[in-house]
Amino acid sequence: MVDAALDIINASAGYSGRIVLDAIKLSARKGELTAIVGPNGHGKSTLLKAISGLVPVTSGEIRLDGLRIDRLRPDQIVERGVIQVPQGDLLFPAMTVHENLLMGAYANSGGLAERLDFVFTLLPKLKERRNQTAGTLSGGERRMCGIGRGLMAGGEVLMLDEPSLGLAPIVIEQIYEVIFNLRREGRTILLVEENAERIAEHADMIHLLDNGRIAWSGLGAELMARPEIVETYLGV
Amino acid sequence: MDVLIQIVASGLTLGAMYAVATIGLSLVYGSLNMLNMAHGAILTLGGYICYAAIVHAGLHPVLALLAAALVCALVGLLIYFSAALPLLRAENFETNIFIATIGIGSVIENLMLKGFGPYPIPQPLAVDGQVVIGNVHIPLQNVFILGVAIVLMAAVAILLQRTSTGRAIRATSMNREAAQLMGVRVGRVYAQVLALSGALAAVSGIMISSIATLTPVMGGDPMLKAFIVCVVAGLGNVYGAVIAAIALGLLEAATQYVLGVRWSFATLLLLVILVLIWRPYGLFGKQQVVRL
Amino acid sequence: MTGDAAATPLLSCRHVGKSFGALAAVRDLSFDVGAGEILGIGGPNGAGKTTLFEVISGLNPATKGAIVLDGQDITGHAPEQICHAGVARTFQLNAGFDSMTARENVLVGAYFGRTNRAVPTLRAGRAAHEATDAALEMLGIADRADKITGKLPVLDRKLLMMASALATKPKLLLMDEPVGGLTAREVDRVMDAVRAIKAAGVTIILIEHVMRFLVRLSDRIMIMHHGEKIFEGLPTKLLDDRTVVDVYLGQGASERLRSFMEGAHG
Repeated sequence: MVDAALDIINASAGYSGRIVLDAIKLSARKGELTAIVGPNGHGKSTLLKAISGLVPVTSGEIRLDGLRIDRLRPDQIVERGVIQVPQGDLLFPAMTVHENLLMGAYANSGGLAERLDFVFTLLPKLKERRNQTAGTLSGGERRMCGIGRGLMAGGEVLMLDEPSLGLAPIVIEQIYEVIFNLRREGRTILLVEENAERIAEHADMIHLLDNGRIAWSGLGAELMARPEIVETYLGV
Repeated sequence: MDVLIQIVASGLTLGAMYAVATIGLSLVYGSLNMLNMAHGAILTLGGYICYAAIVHAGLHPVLALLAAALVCALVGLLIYFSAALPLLRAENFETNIFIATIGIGSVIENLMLKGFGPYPIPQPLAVDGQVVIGNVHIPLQNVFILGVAIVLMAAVAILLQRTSTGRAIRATSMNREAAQLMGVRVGRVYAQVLALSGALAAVSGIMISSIATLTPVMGGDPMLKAFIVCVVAGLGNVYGAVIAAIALGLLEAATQYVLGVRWSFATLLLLVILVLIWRPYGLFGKQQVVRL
Repeated sequence: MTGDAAATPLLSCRHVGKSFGALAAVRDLSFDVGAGEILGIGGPNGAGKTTLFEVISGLNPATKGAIVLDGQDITGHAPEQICHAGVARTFQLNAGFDSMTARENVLVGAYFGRTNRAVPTLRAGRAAHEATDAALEMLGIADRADKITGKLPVLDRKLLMMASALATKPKLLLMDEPVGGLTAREVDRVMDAVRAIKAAGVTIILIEHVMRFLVRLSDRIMIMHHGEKIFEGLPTKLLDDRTVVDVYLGQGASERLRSFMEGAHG
């Protein structure tokens, strides 16, 4: 029986009175790739934010390796090894690519040189632009920088919010290669993806988030075999 | 030529004092989005603590300066815990903290009024003597002030660029949420910035009062000028603020000479208005087109 | 739709270059776009695609070369002039006036985007309101016109951007990654909208990485890399180009694209 790394137990979360997530129950198991799919604006990003401590959890619990993390500060959650690569432009615009990557290792600066090397090898465009300020990068390059920065943090659980958004197809392949490699090495991955088809065959577990609730959970192959679910929620 | 040297010397001194007063204000605005209206009062407090330390406690001037900086750093921390922290959790932080710090500044000012009386007191931390360039006699005090300011600014620059604390401060100013996701303890950054700002204000207050005198209300004018510098430079831009402060100091010295002291402030403000019409976000402000 | 540019192209770029200091974001780029066609642009991240749009729309003028729109040289002209000359643009990130309603957003385009207003009037004229209604209708968001923009879902915001652009009555519409982050059904919705815009006579250049969108809609495709053109031709020929597959698509995406295209045409 594989342990759950991250347990979300009937957690609800929201912003100033408005409940976005309603009694969510899911687990990201250690060493597995768990995918959250679903239509836009239905709570996927809010879920990751709640796990990272950026959005308050109004009821229920979130546990990491059995210990509660839902009342912790965001920096404490990062210290415990839960790293998020957020959607949207959350780079430090006046810092160079290099400095942004260094900030990624802020909480965990061991083995800095190797990790930097790894990120530059994986994403050579970043190496090319290492001294450029992040605010001047193209949309896709910013995405790559965000992912590279997340990889710099190490950690036990890596959460990615739509990593493929705005990336050239070949880069998407490379990013997924890395994600699958990380999984092979035992990292727990929580992935929010628009493109259910792409992730279905690779994810160990898929959860469908619709209107702030888990509408369906199961294996990728099962999801693809249920066209009515795919049609209703994902509009494929 | 002599006049020029005189103006430049005065201007640099003024600029240096403004620069030290402004750095703290700029840092606080950049990272917390907070206009600290108690800045002037803390500045004044620094001057008085230094005076009290030398005259009443018999401390060596350097120790007195350090004591003043320390006390004001603690005041900065106090502001964080008593006002900024609770208000951050609510809506309308910017407006509320603005008003709250006006209150805090008022309290500090009145405490000094009560403690030291309303009459001007000379600041004992002064260096005697002069430097002579050509036919111009420049007080050593001015050179001393300039020296201290340069050292302080270099120290802040090194802090910001080379230390992880500094990087955390810069990251928080650029994008608070992203900084949190990197594991930056944002609350601690705020406290550090407010403490640093307090210490810098104290030094600035000591310097200013060493040329003028100590009165409980002396902080209002430098604070106003510090705000102007911040706005002209672009709110939150620390390096730009230093450049703008020096430029403003030189400008003030020049207009004081040409038009007389009573016109200098008005002229300054007029120039500021013109600059802001030309560049609404400040000279170095974030006015580039956002990459959509 | 044929793949050849019309006899007199609507847009003609000749040896266009854009450098930021020593960095050449776009170099020696020449291409034509015929009236009424859809040109799709793809290419790796940082290839200069958005920069090209900035150059054409005037936000960031070219450092070299010439851009001619419908016989008129627009190189280096101010963005408003280029807008009035008939170029409109949508952006990668949702760009709207968040605190205003959808209708008000489109009205801004209709009012300012068509003629030069030396002396602005106090009220938008009837023509502007009609153009606004028409644009909202065409994009199918007329029923949401009075909602606050900041509260609209992602798809509606993208459609709103398109409506605002349309209200300026453009000859040429530049669309920058219009379907990033949308579900398959939402992508279809945008495809229908683009087809409607084309049917209304607007020439379109679009940048996109979502290949099925790019390939289905474009009459011709151009692939950029390091600021240069490495491919220009029919969508069906895209997969035959080795360089495109190596630097942009990758093996997996190429195979998926091939089966997709065969399925569509077979």
